[in-house]
Amino acid sequence: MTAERKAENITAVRMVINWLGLGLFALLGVAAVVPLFLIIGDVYVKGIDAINRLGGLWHFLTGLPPTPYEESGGIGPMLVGTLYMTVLGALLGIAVGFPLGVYIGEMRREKFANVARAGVNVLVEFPTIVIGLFVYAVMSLAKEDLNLYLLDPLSRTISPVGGWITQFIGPLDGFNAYAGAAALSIIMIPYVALITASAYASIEQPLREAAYATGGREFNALFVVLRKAVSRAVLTAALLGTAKIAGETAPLLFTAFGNFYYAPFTGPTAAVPLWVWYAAQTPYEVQIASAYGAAAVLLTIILTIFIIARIRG
Amino acid sequence: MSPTQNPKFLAIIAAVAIVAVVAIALLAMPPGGSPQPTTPPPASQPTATPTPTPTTTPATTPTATTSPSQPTTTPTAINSPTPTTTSVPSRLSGALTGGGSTFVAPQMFTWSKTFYQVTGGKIQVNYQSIGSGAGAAQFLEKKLDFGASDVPMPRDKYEQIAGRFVQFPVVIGSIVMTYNVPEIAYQKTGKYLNLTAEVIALIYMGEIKQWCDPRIKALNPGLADKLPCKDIVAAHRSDGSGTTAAFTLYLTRAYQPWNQTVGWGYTVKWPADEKAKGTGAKGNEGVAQAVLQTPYSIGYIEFAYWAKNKDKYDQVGGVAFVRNDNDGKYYFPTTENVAMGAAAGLERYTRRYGSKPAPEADWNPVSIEFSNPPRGYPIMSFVYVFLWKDYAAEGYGDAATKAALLKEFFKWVLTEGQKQGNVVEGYIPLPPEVAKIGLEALNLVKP
Repeated sequence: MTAERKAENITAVRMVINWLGLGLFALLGVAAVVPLFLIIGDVYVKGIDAINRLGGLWHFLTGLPPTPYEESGGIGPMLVGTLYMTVLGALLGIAVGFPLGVYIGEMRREKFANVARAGVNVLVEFPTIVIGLFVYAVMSLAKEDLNLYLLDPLSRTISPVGGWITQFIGPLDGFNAYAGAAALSIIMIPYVALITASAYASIEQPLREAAYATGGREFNALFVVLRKAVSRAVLTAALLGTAKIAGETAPLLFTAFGNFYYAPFTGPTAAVPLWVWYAAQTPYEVQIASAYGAAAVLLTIILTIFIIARIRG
Repeated sequence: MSPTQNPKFLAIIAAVAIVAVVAIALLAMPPGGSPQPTTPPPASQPTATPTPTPTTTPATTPTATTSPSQPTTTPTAINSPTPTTTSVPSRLSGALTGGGSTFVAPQMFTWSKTFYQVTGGKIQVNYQSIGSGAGAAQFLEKKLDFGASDVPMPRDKYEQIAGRFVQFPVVIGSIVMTYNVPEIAYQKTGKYLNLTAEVIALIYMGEIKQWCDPRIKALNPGLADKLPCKDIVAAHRSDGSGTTAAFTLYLTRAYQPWNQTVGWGYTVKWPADEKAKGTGAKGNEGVAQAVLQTPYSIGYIEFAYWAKNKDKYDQVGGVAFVRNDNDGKYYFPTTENVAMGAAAGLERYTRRYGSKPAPEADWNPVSIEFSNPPRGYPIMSFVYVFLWKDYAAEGYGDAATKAALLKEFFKWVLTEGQKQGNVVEGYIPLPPEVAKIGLEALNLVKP
């Protein structure tokens, strides 16, 4: 009798503790998610209001930024710059990061693969401003030779194509979109490489053996057959990495530098995060509003990429 | 490649293609997006251009500068005082890159955009606020066409490049003392505090610890009975800044003990942090917020950060009248009072050194002479612009165009740019005699 009751008591106590514990975890979960929605809500409420006040969505997406005296304006040059640099940076990041990840993940027994893995692990934690400074230093060293031996002759040969090509290719300034894209890609490479590596490492051995057993070249086994097993993870990595670099400010400070106007990508190039960073600090309401609008646009880009990643991944 | 795989890649490629197309389309849209030879601007230009410069009172313009309604036909007139090449300006177009002082960024951007509109979108002056120190450094690295700084070129750097560059002020900023003391808020009492250099210095030195200190009461007989016995929170910048440099330079000049204990610079060690309640904040906006949110605080910020939030400050406190110890009068930080101070500082410099400061000179003594001037509002700072004298010799590409563009832009900044409609609220235009120094500097830049 007593033993039974004791057991009942213990079960009851355990159930209560269980509920308490679960409740606590649920609370922690809510606490973690609430700031996210508060930030998103705040940015969109203020941002959409700002975009309407500054002359509507289309004007905001294409116009030049407002001076303190103006009442309307946009982030056109910044949006173009951010899209261009993010796409370039992401393509370069995937082009280097994916094979690197395959190497680290599949060739685990090679000594250098371990060195590469350690290096990538460090790089992923690097402060992004340091990466920006590194690209800045390389750019300072390489710019003159690059212009003299490669880009000057190149721009002369391709000049018959038309004036528009000078927007993209030509002698580089000290600050340019390509330096910005390079900095962004260096941030993205370890990100893609690590996720690719862990995805490849998690492929089950029988599947791997089957892939090699098809009798094709090793290249095909790795990059065609096995890729399909991990393509979702890799695609997610690529998309999340792109979302990450789209919002970076620090690596662009001394590489893309920023601009107020539509200008060739071979010179200082505007970026949305740089404008947000600058405009939010001014005392002028119209510029602060444009910073909120720009933040909303940036958040939309990042959330869109994120949602695509969730759906596809 | 199996058919299930294809849509993904197609989707990615399509997305990239769309982005690229949009980017190109956007690039092609705006006027003057590039230096490519376009057809002469059509008749639509004049309708768009008259708006940006509403204050064209031609009578006050000494040299026939820009006539904004017809940007395409008259650019030759813009450069008329420099007789060298009359044909260049008519074809003049291109881009300049500058950077530096965060403080001047909104003003520089306004000048840049108005000038962009005045020239029909032919000249783009891109200015980025990377900080005064970085501005000077990147200018010396030849990465920027011009630099802007809250302080003159530091002496060691000046000695390295003396004779190769010019520096001149383009606009004045003034620093105001804001405070948050609800008991004596302007909205309640209708009065602002009176302060002197000595009292400000003693607060930041941690010697005056409470608002009811007799030394504060003595300056404010009308508010004496309302000043609360609460600890003063002295807010200051935590980051290096030209605002701190100008503020501490003023205290150094106006109150001797400050010079012996604290000194002046981009950053200083604030005795109030240890002895009393000092607090640091990043940026002008940080100090402005700190004062608004912290009862019984005081803080020094650039004029604009107060002017744009005047009502909020009036609710919790206000902005102080500051006594100029040289003439014993209290001055409110108005445009007139600050301009008076600048003119008086120039006079004093000219008296002491026998001539006006030259654009090639070391301006550190000049900035000291301008601080705490004989009359007028005493806390102010100049924003200086650095230009090379010979862009070709410094290794810049396309140096002739660059020099012509720079001359054109800064000539406009120093004349039209100083007029009411082109000076952003919070900045103070240069007195004409100071602007003249800049115009002389432009003549030294080799075309």
